[in-house]
Amino acid sequence: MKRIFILLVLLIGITSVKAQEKATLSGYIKDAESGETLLGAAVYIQSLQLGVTTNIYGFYSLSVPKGKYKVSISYLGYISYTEEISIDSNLVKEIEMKPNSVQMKTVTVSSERRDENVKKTEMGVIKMDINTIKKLPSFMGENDVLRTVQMLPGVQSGGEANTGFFVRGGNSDQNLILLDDAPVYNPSHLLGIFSVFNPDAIKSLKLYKGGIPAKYGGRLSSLLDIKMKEGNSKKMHGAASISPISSKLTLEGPIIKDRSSFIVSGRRSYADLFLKLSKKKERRKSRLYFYDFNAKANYRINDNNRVFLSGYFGDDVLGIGKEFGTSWGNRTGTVRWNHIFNSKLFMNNIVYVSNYTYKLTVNDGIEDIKYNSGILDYGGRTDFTYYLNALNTIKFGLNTTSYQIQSGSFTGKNIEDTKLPKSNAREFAAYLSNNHTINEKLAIDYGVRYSLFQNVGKATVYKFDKTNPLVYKANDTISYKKGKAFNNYGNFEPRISLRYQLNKQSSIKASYNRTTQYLHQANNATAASPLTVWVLSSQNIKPQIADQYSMGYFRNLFKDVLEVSAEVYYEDMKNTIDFRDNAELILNEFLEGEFRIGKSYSYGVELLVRKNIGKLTGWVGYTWSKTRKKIPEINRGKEFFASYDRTHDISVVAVYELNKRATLSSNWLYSTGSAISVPTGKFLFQGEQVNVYSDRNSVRMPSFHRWDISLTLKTKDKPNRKYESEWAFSVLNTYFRKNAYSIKFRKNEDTGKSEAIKTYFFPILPSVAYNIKF
Amino acid sequence: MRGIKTLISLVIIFSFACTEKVDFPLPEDGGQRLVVDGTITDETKAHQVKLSYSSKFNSSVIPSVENAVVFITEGTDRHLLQGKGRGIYETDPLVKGEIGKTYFLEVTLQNGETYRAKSTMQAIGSIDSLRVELKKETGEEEEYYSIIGDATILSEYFMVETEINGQRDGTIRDVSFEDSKYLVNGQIIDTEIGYVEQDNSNLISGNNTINIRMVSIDQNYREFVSAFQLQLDNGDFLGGLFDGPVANVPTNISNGALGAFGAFAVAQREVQIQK
Repeated sequence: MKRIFILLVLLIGITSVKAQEKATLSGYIKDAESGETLLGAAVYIQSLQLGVTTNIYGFYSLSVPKGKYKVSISYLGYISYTEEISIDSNLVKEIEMKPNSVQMKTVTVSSERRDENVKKTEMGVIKMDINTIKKLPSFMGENDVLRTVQMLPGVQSGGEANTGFFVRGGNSDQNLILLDDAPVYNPSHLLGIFSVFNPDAIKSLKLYKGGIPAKYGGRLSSLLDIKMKEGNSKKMHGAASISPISSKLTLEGPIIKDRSSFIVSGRRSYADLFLKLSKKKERRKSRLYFYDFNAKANYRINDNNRVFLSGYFGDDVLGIGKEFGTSWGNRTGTVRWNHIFNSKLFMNNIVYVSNYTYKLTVNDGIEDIKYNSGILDYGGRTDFTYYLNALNTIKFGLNTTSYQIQSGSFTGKNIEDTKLPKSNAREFAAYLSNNHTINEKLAIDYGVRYSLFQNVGKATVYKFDKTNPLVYKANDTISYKKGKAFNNYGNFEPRISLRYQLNKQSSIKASYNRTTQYLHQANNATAASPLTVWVLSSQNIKPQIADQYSMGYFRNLFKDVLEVSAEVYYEDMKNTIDFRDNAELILNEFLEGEFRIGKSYSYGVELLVRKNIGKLTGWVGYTWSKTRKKIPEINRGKEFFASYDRTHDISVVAVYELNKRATLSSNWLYSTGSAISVPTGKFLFQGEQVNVYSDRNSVRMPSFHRWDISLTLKTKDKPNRKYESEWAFSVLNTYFRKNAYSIKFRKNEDTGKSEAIKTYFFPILPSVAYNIKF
Repeated sequence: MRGIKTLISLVIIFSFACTEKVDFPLPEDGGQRLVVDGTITDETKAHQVKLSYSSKFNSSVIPSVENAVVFITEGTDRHLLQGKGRGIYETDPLVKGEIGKTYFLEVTLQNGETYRAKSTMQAIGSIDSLRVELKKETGEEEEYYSIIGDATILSEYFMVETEINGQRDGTIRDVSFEDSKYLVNGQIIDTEIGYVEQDNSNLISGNNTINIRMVSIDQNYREFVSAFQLQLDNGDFLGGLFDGPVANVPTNISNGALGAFGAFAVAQREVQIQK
């Protein structure tokens, strides 16, 4: 490890020796109309061939030899311009950019500079602003953030009606999903049909499939970083929309002009109102809705200090009559303080809390069951960005996290209560990285993260006798007092990515990163079950560790109009968790004894062609991949496919601007069917018949494909009209493919024959939404 | 908790999902596999081993296995079981298992393939008293006979079978099994141990003899029964949104056979029901 640090120091040293009198240009870049900070906007000095992009908080800093320069400012979707600036001493310059309304507004996958794709060291990263997502065909009038993520190469969907996603062979619990830096533990509403992210409150998202920066850790496969809007700091604005499934209302505006602003946004679905019209009694009695609420405020204390406060809460409520009710939801809160020490040193401080709870009540008059489970996670982080010089940007910082898990508490009348004890743990991490431009062609981003995990009492830890692989039996217990730390795990996680620019239009990139995960989901179903319990690493469950290697070729064609990339990856995962056959994962005191540990690996090729400019925009993505697991006690020790393995995965997304008022969009998705186990035979035992199954996940469900289209019509613009409105018509599953959600096999009681039953969710689903902005 | 998962799934499915019958080509099984249902107890009787073959998923024929050579062995005692037809093999009627001993089952088929299993007979304890009470479930119309009793359990796992007038009531679907770790000092005190529905077809009008049999089972047999019952439940429910991957019922028979072999100690007690 020492060597890595020495290397870091040396590398930083190399380019800092050229002492010359220098000065720094720094500041924030903002949208001139809304005052929202712009993430990833570029500042470039042609004569020096030097540039920098704003960080995720919209801040930039560029150190250059003192002098007068032509500085170009650019950001896709905004008017680029060049300004002559004298940088004779350290200069703070807040830049405001005007949205590009003359040219056709671009629909972008990446909203950065047009050749960013080729120039940045980042790979396996996809950024999307909310406008892109909003232009795609909606699902029952709702544009969903996670559904869009699923359409990207390297990301597999959990199936129809499921916003769960799987990145490069990782399970869905291996994605770190951050909403304004607070982790979100269950990102789905209605069991996966929608995600919890209200598009009206979201500013942008960034998905890291690989090359995860040293700053982040805690999950193996990916990082989905979602930022909420900050609120317009210039003028009051609002937006509302009505669709068959939900309604939304958003208000934003300045609290103190140019100094402080807020945004509040709420959404509620009302699918249950339609259920009342149903002919089936069960449907009429059902309650089924979700709501969520986002709020954020910020205050600029002075040029060097800003504070942000943001929060989210949302719930799903589901029930039948008075007898049965269940609800689950997330709450998150974040306080952020950005401080600029000087033009070279930027500090970000965050304190967050995230809580996921699941509740259930059954009032049958006999047992009156109440069940609760949940996870509470709170923590903080301090991040520094030091703009050493134009060629080195050093990032370092600390994070800490505390987990408290309630695995399940079950109470009722006439039955024995079961309350599983809460489990606690802490995670600390420190990181250091440098984005180092060695020369015009070669740039390297290298760093290391050290994470330390610690279980904390009060706890009772079981030791298991593992001689019978079928069932582990608890044969000893160790108890720890409240607050007592025990069982440490520490891991170094090196991260490196490298870009070699072949010419102006093309580059080759490579990356390696190691990630560690100490928190695992006890869920063996593919559906996003709200009942899922999270489990901490312990003496019995070692942390999961992944090593990912990837390489890619990036090329821009036709003056950066078309971006083409090809990436290959290999990911090796240790201590992969799975569960014994017929495992009991809910309310099990000996849950750790149900885990079976093995390894898994995944490899694949991801191709992406995208067009960001012009009347026709969109992308075509293709992924070929394999993900296999090998766990000694499962499938008789033979390798098997992960249920979310998809050999082929295609998405074709197109948006066409017919004229100033009308936009047509379409997406077609295809993927190989999920890997499932099926019955191959049956046997009788004491007159009862049960199935004999194939090897685990050795058979494929029918392939999935679906075509969705939509048309957005803006109402005519009239002078003096203070609002803009649009109608969004969409048709989901245009050619009525009955995509299988699950296939089950049963014995037909009448014929005595066995038969296969397919469950599918969506017929052709037309919808219309009305959106208004004022 | 299964019930709860099922309920949530049902609400979702009633609300959104549609189902239909589809043709789904299933891979051919590697062939017929031997299915064993064998027990030896501490009773003096002819102990049975039933042998059959598994069949294709769509077939309705379950072939039995004849002309196999079947032994139950303990130490130097080696009992050859006689074929009685329909796949049934029996020991001599004077054979009695012994608590604490480990029994080995050995089945050799005509094709020369040999299958083995073992099970250790654990002491069961005793049923100390039994009584019958007519009871009604809240919300239900029908009354049922609740069989309440006291018992002392010595084994780690046990299951309860019911016989009505000498006939076994139900199948593996109906046995209840328990882990004695949930008992205090192995005692069952004034608790419902079994029940008989009033409309049970084995009941005759007048006096009926109900025999409650508690048998000690080992961990492997418990896993077999538990997974078997789980699969029977699963088979009835369409949807299974949150079900884990389907899995075979585990077995303690070697060489790819199915089913289970168990050595049980039995504690039994009779009680009368007047209908």
